[in-house]
Amino acid sequence: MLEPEPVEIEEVIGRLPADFGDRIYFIALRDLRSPAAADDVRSETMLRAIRALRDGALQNQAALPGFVLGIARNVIREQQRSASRYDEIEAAGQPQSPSPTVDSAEREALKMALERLDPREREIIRYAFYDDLSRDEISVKMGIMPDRVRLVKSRALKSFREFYLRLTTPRQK
Amino acid sequence: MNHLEARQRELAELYVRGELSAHDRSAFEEHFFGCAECFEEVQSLDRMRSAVKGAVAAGEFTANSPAKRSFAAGVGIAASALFAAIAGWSVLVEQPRLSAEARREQEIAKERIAALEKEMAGRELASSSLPVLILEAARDGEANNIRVPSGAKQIALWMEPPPTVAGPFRLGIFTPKGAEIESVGDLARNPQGALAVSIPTRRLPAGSYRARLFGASGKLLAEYAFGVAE
Repeated sequence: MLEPEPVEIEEVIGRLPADFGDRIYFIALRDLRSPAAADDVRSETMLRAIRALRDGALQNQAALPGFVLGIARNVIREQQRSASRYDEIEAAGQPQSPSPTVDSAEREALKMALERLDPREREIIRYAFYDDLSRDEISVKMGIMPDRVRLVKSRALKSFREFYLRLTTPRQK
Repeated sequence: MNHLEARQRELAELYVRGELSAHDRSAFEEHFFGCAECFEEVQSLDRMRSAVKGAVAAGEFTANSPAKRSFAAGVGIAASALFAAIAGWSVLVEQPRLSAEARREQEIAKERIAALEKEMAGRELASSSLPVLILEAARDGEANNIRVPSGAKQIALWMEPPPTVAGPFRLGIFTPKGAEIESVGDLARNPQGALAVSIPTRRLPAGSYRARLFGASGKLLAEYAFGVAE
């Protein structure tokens, strides 16, 4: 009899960083607000997931995303409970403006995306992303159809995403 | 939670704004751990939100002046009243018009994006002080020519394969007599949907060449004539 399971698990393990690394970092950063702590969570989660996978803890590969997320949440909770980590986060995160994830590529991409909008459309973006108003709230506030708000937002987001991708994708050598 | 539900309820946006209940947040995180599209959406929204907040805080966000805003709000109120008064007319006439307008806007946006992408791609490559040759399919002996500055070590070739063909691609460069002097394989489209290839200038001394682009199956997709001058 062939024994495909070990090979399969090793394949799953090999894909873990690419499939889940960014996701783990993302939720950890949201909860812990410290890039260093989020990095720690990512590494620790990977180690535990690899160990658990080799121990045969995952019966069904379709459950892998939930399985990894569960481990990540445990690690995040442990980080939050750690008094020293709290101190570190407080020291590292006071006050980071406006979010620890803002970088120059984001700013530049936003600038380029906004250049494509007229002043009234920029106002929609400001209401949506700065004032955190819902589509309906913006629609009422500006006296325009909700679909128009949706259209402007989705257009701006698409431009932003494209510019951001271009600014952060390494050029071919 | 499935993808359709996440899209319909616009959960990515609510998640980024921190407006989901603990239960929904947990369910949505489980979803985007296995859904590339939703995770991409969440990341983009989060980045854009951070960028907008940062730009406003730094005074870099050019919003309308208050006067204009008041005027706009006034127009909005008037428009709302008008909509209410002629609701029946709106359903029959205005809605289709707005849909058509939305479609037109999407088309205009697509055109703007395409134009800007080309402009930006050119700027990016130009800023890298790399001689760039944009290849267009050969027509009746017309060639694309490039003058290579002295000291340049690489030439960038830029081409746009047919949009319906998936990669990977292979580019072969041939002499006029048909001898293949360079081959670059496993080429993938860049974010602009084009292929950009760097060739060492020593491989392309002054002369005439033909570049042939092949698809994954080895089928010839396009042929470009070009000349290099020093």
